Amino acid sequence: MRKKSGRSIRLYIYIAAIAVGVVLLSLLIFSKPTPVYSEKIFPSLGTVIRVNLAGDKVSSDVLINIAEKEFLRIHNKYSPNVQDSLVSILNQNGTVTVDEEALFLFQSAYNYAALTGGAFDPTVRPLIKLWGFDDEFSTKRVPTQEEINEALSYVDYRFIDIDKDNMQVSLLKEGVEVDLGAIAKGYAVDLVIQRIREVDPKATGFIDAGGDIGIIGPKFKELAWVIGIRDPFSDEYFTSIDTIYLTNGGVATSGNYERYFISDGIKYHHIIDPQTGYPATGAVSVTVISENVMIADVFSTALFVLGYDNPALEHFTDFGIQALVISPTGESTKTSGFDYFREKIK
Amino acid sequence: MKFAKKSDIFILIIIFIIIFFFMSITFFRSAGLVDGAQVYLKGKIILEIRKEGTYSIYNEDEEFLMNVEYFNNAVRVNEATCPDKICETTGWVSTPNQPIICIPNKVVVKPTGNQNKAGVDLYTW
Amino acid sequence: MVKTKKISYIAILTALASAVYYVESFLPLPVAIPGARWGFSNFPLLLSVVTDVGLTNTLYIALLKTLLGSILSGRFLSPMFWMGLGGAVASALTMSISFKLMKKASVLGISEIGAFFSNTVQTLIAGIFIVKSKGIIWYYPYMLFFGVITAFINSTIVSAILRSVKFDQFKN
Repeated sequence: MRKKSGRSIRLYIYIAAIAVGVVLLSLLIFSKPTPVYSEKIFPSLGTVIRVNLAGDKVSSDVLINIAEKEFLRIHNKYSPNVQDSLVSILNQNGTVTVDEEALFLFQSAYNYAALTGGAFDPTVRPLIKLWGFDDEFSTKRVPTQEEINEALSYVDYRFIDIDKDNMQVSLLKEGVEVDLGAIAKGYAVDLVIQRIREVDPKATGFIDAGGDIGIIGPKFKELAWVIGIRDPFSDEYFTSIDTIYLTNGGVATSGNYERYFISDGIKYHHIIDPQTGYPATGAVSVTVISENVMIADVFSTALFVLGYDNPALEHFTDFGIQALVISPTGESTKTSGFDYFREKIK
Repeated sequence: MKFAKKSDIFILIIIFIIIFFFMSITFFRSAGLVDGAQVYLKGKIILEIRKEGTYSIYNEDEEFLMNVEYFNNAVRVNEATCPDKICETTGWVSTPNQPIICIPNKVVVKPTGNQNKAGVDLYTW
Repeated sequence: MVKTKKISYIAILTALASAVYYVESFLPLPVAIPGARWGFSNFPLLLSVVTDVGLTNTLYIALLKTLLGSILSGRFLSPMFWMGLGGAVASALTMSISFKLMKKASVLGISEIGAFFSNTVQTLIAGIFIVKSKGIIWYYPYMLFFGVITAFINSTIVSAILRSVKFDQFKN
């Protein structure tokens, strides 16, 4: 009798445990523990890099270290503000011997300048220096027309000569200065994402290099990252004019609010039109989505210079980009595929 | 020695209550509320803010850089010494998704808290 | 005679536990805590508790199985070793205490209690010394849940052993 009652309790417990187990196991399968994201913020490449990721096989800290080292390396190699970087040597001596990577970057810069008809120009540095946008602590002022004309004579991407056979880059005119800043930043983000994917293919997260964003992988492995496009007409930093959803690729925005100064009531910002020598006024904000951050960065600058009234805007989708351009009066125009990224997929 | 007794059910129930308690904590924890801030100088954490108040930030050479204020679940930067004052115009930040960045001083103020599952994750600018 | 029997019994249990401890570290666990394990190596521990070999001897088994198991898997003195040791000692203590306190305690109940405390201590150690983050609290309920399943399996094994093997009592 005692034995029997013991048995029946045991049976009940078996059934209850199996039932609870099945329910919880199915819950578990459908809601796997969410990855925990680690973040590191560090200054590099003239801006602040924010790496936010969660490793799958490899610990997040290891991946963040890889990212930080890579950014430091690229900063020291290409920043014109670093004493013996390739770009500094080129600007001082007029010629420099390069390796494969640097050759690729110089060639890319040259090609994109040619593609955009000089709207993006890696030799715009003399103008940037003149306006005082080369460094946060430089004095910013409106130069005279003569000064601008003088500086303009040094601005043309065709002054760069790339000798592939001898692995040499040289400047054809004395006084020409190169700045790979925009391209190097995008390239660094792309490279770091590639490195991280090599080490841990299922890692997720993003890299934010001063508003230029590269996606490592979807949020919690399934959701799109929600990216707000900053409202160029608001003084508040974090108000968005539109939202886009990305699970991979990159996005970059050029805006007239990033770095600027006000003189006699007129706002002068840091994106200088290489043709006129003055800050470009055709647009206030250009956002470009592309497969990689380098392309997005280059074209956001180029399309900003080309302005809102750009009849060839749609033509630029041939380069694998989608763009949103906001005019100084608040109108916006976008390429045909841009709306695809404004819809939440999941 | 018996395999199971009626009292085992109570043990199991207690354990499951604890499991569900912690699961619900992780699900319903005040999502997206700022509960403090971390201050980074050149990528290294130099200050953890937990209590409300105004905190002064200095660099390695003891030079004053800025004040960080944390009140009512929001963080802002005030009286910054940098030339562009972008960190000040950022204003009050009340979401842990968005750090305040001062590029000239190489300072980042990162509000802490549970990251939002909904809403904007980051901004392109 | 009784003493020799006792020593060999403890040795058998220790060997068993170390072997299970080693093999178990290859089993995948759907929780991303480094060093987290299913905890099947607790069943010899449970067996030692319910056959009443005494608290000291149970603690010996707990210590030795972690020691031997981690030496075998090359994780001796690594953070995972401390996690395993903390968990094993915690479950040895709580199982012995609940066996003493609860009159006519059942195998399942003791096993569940042991697994619960073992997982709690392991999560604490992982959170403080390994991951160093409060984020571990996300994984805690999952760990507990796996503990419940493991404890159930362990107690089934132990009660099967109890039914089929005749034990001498080790009361001095």
